[in-house]
Amino acid sequence: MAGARVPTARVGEMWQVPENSVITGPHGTCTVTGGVFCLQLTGTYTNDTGDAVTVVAEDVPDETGGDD
Amino acid sequence: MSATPLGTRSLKIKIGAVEYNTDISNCRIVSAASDSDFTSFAQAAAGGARDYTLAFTATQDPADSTSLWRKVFDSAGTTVAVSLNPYGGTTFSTSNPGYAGNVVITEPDGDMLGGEADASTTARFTIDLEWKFTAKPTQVTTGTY
Repeated sequence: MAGARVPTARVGEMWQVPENSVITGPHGTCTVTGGVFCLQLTGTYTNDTGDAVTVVAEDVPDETGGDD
Repeated sequence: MSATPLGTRSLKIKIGAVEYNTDISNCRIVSAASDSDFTSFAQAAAGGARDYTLAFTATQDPADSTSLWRKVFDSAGTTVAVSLNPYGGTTFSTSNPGYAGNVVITEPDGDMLGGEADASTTARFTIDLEWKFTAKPTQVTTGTY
């Protein structure tokens, strides 16, 4: 069975997480209060309820084509 | 020449998902030389490693479980997201940038509760806090505050 697609976010976005989530990612591991976590580093973050998000740099090149 | 210098009345701040600009005065991001025992060559070439701190003064409200005072008392040592909106707009842009990051909730060095008597009916006891960012705050130019 294929795994669920991990959503992406851009650097600086806030990730909504449950209160007192344990978040692991490029920064290490921490316990987060307040219901949101700032995604500051590129890479994949996971929390202790099994959610994940992959953070990409803000200036991602457009790979879908467009006007020249 | 600076075209849009910051005023002193517009700053908004969210700690977690809650706006606290009615509870905070004298809010700033402070940069200082890092006290890290290890400085990489890359950091040295850039002038040395830096630490960033959210320094602010907040009202004391032990009775409100959502107050900043209670965050300090109940949740010291945990991490909380911060979003600073110095121009105070509703949407971040290049002309209304925000600064976001995560800080570690820390008890103050000094007064925790109470203060000096004052006859004014609008005076409030306050608490001076300094919470370290886990990384340099990120400038945000898209999305809503």
